[in-house]
This record gives sequence, C-alpha cells and structure tokens, in this order.
Amino acid sequence: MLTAADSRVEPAASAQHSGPSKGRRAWFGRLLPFTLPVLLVVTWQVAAQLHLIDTVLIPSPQQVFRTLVEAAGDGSLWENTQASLLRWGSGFALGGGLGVMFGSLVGLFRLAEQFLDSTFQMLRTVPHLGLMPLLILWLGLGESPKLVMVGLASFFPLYLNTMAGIRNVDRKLVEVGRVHGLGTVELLRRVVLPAALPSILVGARYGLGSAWVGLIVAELMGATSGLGFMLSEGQALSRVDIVVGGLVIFALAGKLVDVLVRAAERRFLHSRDTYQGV
Amino acid sequence: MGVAVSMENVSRTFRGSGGQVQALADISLEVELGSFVALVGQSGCGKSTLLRAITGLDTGYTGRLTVGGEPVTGVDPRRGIAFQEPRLFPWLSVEQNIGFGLRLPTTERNRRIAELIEMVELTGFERARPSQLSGGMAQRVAIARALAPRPRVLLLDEPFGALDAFTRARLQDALQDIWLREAVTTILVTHDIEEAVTLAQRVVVMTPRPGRIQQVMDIDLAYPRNRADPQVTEYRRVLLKAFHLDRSAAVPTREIP
Repeated sequence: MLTAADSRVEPAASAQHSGPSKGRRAWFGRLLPFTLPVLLVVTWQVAAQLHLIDTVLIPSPQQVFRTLVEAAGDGSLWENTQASLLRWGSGFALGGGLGVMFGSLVGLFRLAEQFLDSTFQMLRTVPHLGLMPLLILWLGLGESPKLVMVGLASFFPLYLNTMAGIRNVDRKLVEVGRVHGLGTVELLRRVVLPAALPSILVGARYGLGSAWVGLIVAELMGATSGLGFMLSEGQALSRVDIVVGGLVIFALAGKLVDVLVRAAERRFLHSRDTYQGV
Repeated sequence: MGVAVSMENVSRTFRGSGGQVQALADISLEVELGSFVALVGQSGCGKSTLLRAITGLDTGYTGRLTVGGEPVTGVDPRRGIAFQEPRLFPWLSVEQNIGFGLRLPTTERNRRIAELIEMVELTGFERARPSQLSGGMAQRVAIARALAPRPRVLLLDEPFGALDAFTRARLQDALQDIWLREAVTTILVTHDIEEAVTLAQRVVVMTPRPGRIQQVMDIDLAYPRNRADPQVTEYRRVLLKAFHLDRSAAVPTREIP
C-alpha cells in the first residue's frame, strides 16, 4: 500500500541548497545583509577623514562611537536606553494587549463588529503622533502620556491584524473542530486562535515598529530620560554627535527586537507553506 | 444484524436568491451495522448533502434520520468524517492531527495514535507537518483522524476525488483493509463507479434534480476484493448501464485506419 512513490517528504533545507557550493552559499547568505551598512559606514568615515563633509554638521563614525563610549562610561547611555525600552515594552503590552482583545471580539462576534469597528476605523485615521501635545496637556509630563502614546501606536496594527486573522480562518477547519465535538471555547482555543496566529504575529511586528516611532515623539516632548530625551538634549547643546549616536542606538535596538520577533515567528509558524523567494 | 443509520423520507430544500432548490427528495434507506455502503451519482445529485445531514453538519432536513436509533440533531463525535480535502491543521504534526479528537489518558491516547499510524502506514512520519505530506499521505492522516475516537459510523465525502489514479487505487485498497480490520459502519460518497463497486457491499445510485435514490445494488463479492476481478468489472458494467454510460451497443460511423 504505502510505497516509496507515495512518500514525498524531503527536508526543505537540503532541497533548497544542494550541490557542492552549499557551504559557501550559506556563508555568503549570512554576510550579505551586512554588506550595505558596512559599506555606508566605511564611505562615511573616509569622506569625513578626507574633509569631503563638514564634520561639525556630520560627525565621523569614529566621533560618534567615541561619544557613545563616553555616554556608556558615565552610565547615562544605559539609563536612557533602559528608560526607553521600559516605556516601549509596557506601552506595547498595554496597547497591543487591548488590540488583540478588541480585535478578537470584533473578529468573533458580528454584533461587536457592528458596534465597534466603524468607530475604530475612524479613530485609526487620526494621526496619533499629533496627539502628543494634547496628551501632555491632559496627563502632564510624567510617564502616563508616553505610555498612552506608545499604546496608541501599537493598538491599531494588532487590532486590525487580529480581526483579519480571525476572519480569514478557513471555515472548513472550523467544521472539522465542530465534527470532533468541540464547544465554542474549545473551538476558539484549538482551531480559531492557532489559525489566526500568523496574522496576529505580523500585527505584533508592525505594532512594535510603530510603537518605537511613537516612543521617540513622546520622548522628544518633555521627557527627562530616554533615547528621545538624549536626542533633544543633543540638539539643545548643538552636539550632532550625540544626536547621531542616539539614532544609532535606536536603529540597533529596533533591529534587535525585529530579530527576536522573527525568531518567535519561526518558532510558532513552522507550519507555513509559503513562497520563500528565488 | 442491527441498523446503524436509518433514513425515512429525508428531504432537503435550499432557499436561495433564485428561489427554492430541492437537493434531496424522499430518501429512504437503511444502513446495516458494520456494513459498507457507497452513495454514487453525478455532481448535484445530493449525495454530499445527504452525508452532511447524517454527519449532523446540516440539520435543515425534513423526515426521519436516526443513527444508532437516535435522531440526528447535530454533530456527534460518534460519527467520524473525512472530506475530499484532507483539512489537516497545518500547525499540528501528523500524530497531533490524528489525536485531535481523542479524549483519553496519555498512555491510551498514545497507544491509539500509534495503532492508527501503523494502520494507515505512516510510520516514520509521526512528527511531519501537513505541508510536508503528499496528497495521498495527507488523506491517510485525515482518515486516521476520523477513525481515532472509534466512531460508530465512518463517513467519507469523496475522500479520494482529488488524488491521481494510482494513489487513489492504493488508498482504496488501504481503506478496504481498514474497514475489514475495524468493522466500522462506513458510508462512502463517490462519483467513481469502480471505486464504489470495488469497496462497497451495497451501492446506492442517486440521480439529480431533485436528489433521489434511483436504485440500490448489492455487490455479492467476497473480501478482500480486487479491482481487476472480472466479477467486479461485470458489476461495474451493470452500473455504467444504469447511468447510461454503457457504449457496448454503439455503432461505428467511420473506419479508423
């Protein structure tokens, strides 16, 4: 009955990279993403050393690095990074959590959709970054306006993607769950949620990115700590190297989180059978 | 022998924008306990509608429909079903898919899953994901999943319809072995006459608009059956005649060199 002709299982990795150049290709593939950033930094440094650019306006990478080492030395860099990461994490947990909650509600119940969705869609079009002055007026200069800003920025990506994920669950899979005697709660836990998870994770990635942007805006206005504060301080002192250094930390932290989320996606979404590019 | 599934004047009418469509008209049929029945007919003859009613997925029928003496009012884990598409959960492995509907303590659960994996001959693929399986293997998993909770009735809705002819023949043989081993009442919906004749003890021929039973034919052949057996071929010929697909009387209209 079951013979070799019926077996089609093949390890995906070996199918994609076969042949003698396998090792070299893997090595090449790992280095390729770093080529462009390294090239840019080297060009920048060379241009600064040859005085092709005004180092007062655009400090060399070396200068920026020195400033960062200094800031790390007196502890202010770690303090600011820590403050920002904390706001980012808690704001995202708050806004993203609410986004998943309301997204599920609207995705699962048509009554909730009719009641909530049009309002949310209207609010979504308001540029939330522009709400910061209002939030400061209402909530003062403490932590709360920053949390609300980051929360707002992460809410909509998760709300939209959770709702879409649930609405795109294959009705046929839900039917299989019903046939096996699952009640509503079990059906949601064992079929609907796992099926919607890929979409929710995409929302989380977008949400983290937009929360990051919301964070800078919040910290640029009336903060006394954080990477955004570091930027505005650099501006006040006319220290471009501090501003650029702050931006570098922003970029690195953003990249780090993106790597972590992608790893989480790989962990949870090993089942996807999608086009991987040529 | 007892009766597993009983239908008395089962009808089903769908109301759509274009008016009413009668999908089933006065279906009366008894399926004996442990028997293998095939519902055969062209697209639109209502065979899948009837199967969905027996499953409990469609309760809009009229008439009397009972399984094990109880009227069908909704789905019930005592009725297992496999569809034309495998409908496996992509995030679960082969063994997790098979065990999806099992409510047993871990040891018994693992034993049942191992038994089923061996029965559908997927040993070595326990941890494979559905995306790694061929169509035939995925359908084996779907059948094993339907059988896992030891249902009283196994319902199959064109389970091999999307497979190539060779894989289909192999899976039909596998299904025959499974039925002989598990002795579960099986109702198979198919549009493949050879499939029906090779597998079933009783073939129910249905005609469309509205869906009716045209004739019921008993296939008196011993198991295990072989599709190349001349007696199987003879039954197949008789059934083709019932569908007006027998061309043995056709007259040549030109010489083909």
